[in-house]
Amino acid sequence: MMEREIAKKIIIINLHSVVDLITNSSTELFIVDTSKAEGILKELFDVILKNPAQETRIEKFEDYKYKNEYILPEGTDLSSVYICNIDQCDDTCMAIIQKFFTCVNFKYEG
Amino acid sequence: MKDNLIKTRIEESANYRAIWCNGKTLRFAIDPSKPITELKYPEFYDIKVTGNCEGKCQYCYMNSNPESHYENIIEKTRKFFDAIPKENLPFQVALGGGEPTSHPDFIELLRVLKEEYDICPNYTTNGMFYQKDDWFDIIDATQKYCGGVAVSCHPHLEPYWHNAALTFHTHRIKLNFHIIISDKESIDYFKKIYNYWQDKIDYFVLLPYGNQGRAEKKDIDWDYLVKMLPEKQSKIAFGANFYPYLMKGGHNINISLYEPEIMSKFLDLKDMSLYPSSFNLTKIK
Repeated sequence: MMEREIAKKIIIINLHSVVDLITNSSTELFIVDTSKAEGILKELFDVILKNPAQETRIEKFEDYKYKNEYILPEGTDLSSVYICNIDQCDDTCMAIIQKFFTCVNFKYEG
Repeated sequence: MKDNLIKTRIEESANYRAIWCNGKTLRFAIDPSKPITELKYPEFYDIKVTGNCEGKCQYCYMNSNPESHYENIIEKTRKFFDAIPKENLPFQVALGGGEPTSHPDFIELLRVLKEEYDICPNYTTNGMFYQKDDWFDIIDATQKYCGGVAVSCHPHLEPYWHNAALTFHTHRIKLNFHIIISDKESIDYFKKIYNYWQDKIDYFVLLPYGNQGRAEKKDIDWDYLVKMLPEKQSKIAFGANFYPYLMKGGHNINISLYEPEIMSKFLDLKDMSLYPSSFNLTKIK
């Protein structure tokens, strides 16, 4: 059987917190359930990557199929780390992304 | 207002960077192993634009009354934001009072913030503007300049806030509800509101009753609140003064918790005083 090789660029997003519309300083604390954080990250990357909504994929690192390929800094709170596939990224988008996120080339052989 | 612009802010000394996109703020620690600390230039400001309010809430933590309005709020706002480097201007501000919509310069203030400073204004209202002749001008300006609105759900003002909220919803304005939480009665009132409005509202923001202004001391029934929270919590937000309750644990609320008051400040346009927040009136300058 021939070996299959998949080359991907992905970014690792270490999210501190997200807030939606602020209507009073006392609303500073917001519930962030998993689906909400993923939804807001997806919205951001839809804009950065100029993607149609259905093309951007955001996954929690903990749920990521190939997570064993990555070594994160010791003590990283995995529950706040997300992964985004950025195969279709041009140089301008990449410049924005590299300013804010850890970007890695990922090669999966199997 | 649907704003697709992406804006960013970085404060290395506070281990902070953030992205603003479509009215949402995403924060990242530069060094994820360390906390984000207090920002020198806040990410958002809470701005008191007037002490005037006709709501007569017995528990008003701002002690607002039908008094005269603050003067020169446009000039004061310009002076304040002109002193901040452009790259450090806040993403958004929350205008309050008093009842901010009652100020004669309110609409101009929204315009100045958005058009001159590219700051997204949001505001809180008790809904009483809806009985006045110029109510549609407020709605129109909100659509044009604002990210969204919070309606304060005071039980004795229900006819006003209910109609105002329906109007905001009809005009597709992003809408939060602010609901004050104290005893069982207030929590049951929140549940009643939640059940009726859950499909129309972005967030139900639960604010702990504060013993400040003319509000008398009252306990908060935290255990009953936890018991009565809806199973689907994606539309629930907590006011910063719930921080000690949330830190106690014993609940299954999945929340993004960080030290309150590190991202924002409260500006009172009466005398340009700056405070940590509207419920911590220890003057900064």
